[in-house]
Amino acid sequence: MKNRFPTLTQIIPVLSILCVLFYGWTAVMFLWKLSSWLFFLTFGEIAVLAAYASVTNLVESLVLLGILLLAAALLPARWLKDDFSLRGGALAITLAGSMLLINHLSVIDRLGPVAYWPLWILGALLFGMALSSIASRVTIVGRAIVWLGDQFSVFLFILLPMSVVSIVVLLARMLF
Amino acid sequence: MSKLSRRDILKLTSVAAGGALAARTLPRRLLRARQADKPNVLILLFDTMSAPHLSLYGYGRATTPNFARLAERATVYHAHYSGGCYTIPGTASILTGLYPWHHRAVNPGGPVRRDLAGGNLFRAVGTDYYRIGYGQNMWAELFLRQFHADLDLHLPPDSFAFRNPMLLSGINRRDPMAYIAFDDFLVGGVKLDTPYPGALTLGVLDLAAARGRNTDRDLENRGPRTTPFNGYFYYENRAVFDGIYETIRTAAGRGQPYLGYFHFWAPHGPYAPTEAFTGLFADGAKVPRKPLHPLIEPKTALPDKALDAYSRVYDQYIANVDAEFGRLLDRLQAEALLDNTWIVLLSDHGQLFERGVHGHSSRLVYDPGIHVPLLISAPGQSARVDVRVPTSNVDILPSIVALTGGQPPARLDGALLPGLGGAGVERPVFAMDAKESSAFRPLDRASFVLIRGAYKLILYTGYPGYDDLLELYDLESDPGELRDLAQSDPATARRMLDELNEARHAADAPFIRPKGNQ
Repeated sequence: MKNRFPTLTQIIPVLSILCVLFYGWTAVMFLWKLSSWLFFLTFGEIAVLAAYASVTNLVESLVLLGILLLAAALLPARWLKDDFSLRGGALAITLAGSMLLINHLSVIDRLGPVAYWPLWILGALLFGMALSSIASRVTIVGRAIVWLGDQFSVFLFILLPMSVVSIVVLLARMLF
Repeated sequence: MSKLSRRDILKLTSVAAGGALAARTLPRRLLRARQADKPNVLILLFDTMSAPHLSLYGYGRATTPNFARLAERATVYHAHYSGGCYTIPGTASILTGLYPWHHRAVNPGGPVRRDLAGGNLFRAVGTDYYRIGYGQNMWAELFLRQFHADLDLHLPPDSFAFRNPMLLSGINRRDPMAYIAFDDFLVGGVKLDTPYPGALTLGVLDLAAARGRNTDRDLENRGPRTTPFNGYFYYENRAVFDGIYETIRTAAGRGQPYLGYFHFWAPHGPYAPTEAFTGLFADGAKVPRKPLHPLIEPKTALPDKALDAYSRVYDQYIANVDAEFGRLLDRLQAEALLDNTWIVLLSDHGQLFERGVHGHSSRLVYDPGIHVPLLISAPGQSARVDVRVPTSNVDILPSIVALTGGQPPARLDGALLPGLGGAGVERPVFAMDAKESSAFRPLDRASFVLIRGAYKLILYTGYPGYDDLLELYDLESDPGELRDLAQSDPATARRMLDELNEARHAADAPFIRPKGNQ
């Protein structure tokens, strides 16, 4: 069973990409809202909001990673598992990018009816698979994704402890 | 001293046991006896209900026949004002008895000042009461979260509604920050500051859930109308009123007096009257034509025709809500559940359909935006009483606390309402909109209102690009606020401005930072 999953050294770059994209997006939106929060929230309350956001980002990163790992375990090994840091990284970028696109299309009122959603998901998957295929064939694209995964790993040293502290803070707020 | 016999010991033991039992049960009995004397208080708050649109107050369309029915055995307040012109300041003023310049819930989504939160209505009525809080408006829910420790039953906002799995603030109902974090930021929600969700995945899931709800079979076959929606979940007014009826029935059966605060979203927009009401008021009536205000950008102003159309659907929705209220009232009366109950019917703010503005999020503070209904029916009251002196929603808390024998908070702006022990003399009534000011600083960019007798003074101050604007109206002779008397009656304007400035500068004083620390 263990052989069906990629190694930890292949998983970490993918988790790094997911974390940087999700935490990064939330950080930008957080700064966008901050000016209004400063009008009526104390610094302590704003820190609590950051804790909620941090835990949410951790959960969404881990859930997406879990989906990719499940896919790696279920699909033929050469499709995803064998080169997980590259193909998984490409899929992670595609997933986050398609979410951003969906949210943007909704904002500009260009998102189609719910009946089109399966097409959306199919399109995103096809694009992700195409990108991962291109990444494994075109060296510069592949190198770029692996490089991103490696470089982003350093952020895990900040983001993961921050999320753990956030979990403790929120548990304390729920219990007391 | 003779020895105690076995019989004596048995006697003493039984007396001691009986005494201990009596000592345990007596306070409970006394408590129950004390509670039995106390009346129930049922507060029904209809969000965004403008008094000038109610036939109860003389509006041309028959929007509120059931309110009028209750009015026949209630005290009707004809010049009642909200503390602010949208939910946050308006509701906070009701629940704290303070004007916004004191409670500082002035910004969209902003809570009551932390050191004053303990002075809320629920704590003030005390633990003799079974205290129920329900806020269908998420900003009202924000305050109920802030006062959660003082509630015995805190109904989730989507009770009696089509559940929204993305309403994530339910994870921790005690925490006001959970609402701001999830429903206002990470999932999306009100989208006042940014149209994008704070968390990408939650935003996508919310879109999927929202679109799924729109096509839900439960919501089909409802005729040519939209389903009521509060920005977070869909619901049907009938189901909500049925749920409130059941809640009241259960509370009344507890043998303990209850205070029920029920904050309905309707008739807040989007207006969604049921089929029975969508054809009403095809009378061609127009909203009063008024000049555009200098603070309203001409390019954002709505044409009068659009305001006419909005006004008609709003009136239909009020009639719809009134009918549901009538049904609730009849059911409660039929089961004698109102016999020892005060009924308080009010709103947190009004709605504008004039000067190019539709809604309650502009800077304007004209009467339709802040003049709200207030009816209070006492247990056993059989005749109507009309009160015409200006009153305010800040008077609700002290009046209810007096009815319930509770302990009023140390700081209060409100006073006892006339008809409930209040003197009924003329006193200043304030209202304000300071959403563009910081809650932690003096409210220097805001719209202020002072009502004294028939006169109403409006001060628009600090808006960038505009000079301070002062307006004075005589509401008795000019209820439509069309003839500005600030120039023609400068003495009254000056006197009222001095009174307003004195009050607001006193309220701002604790927030002025020493020079060099700005």
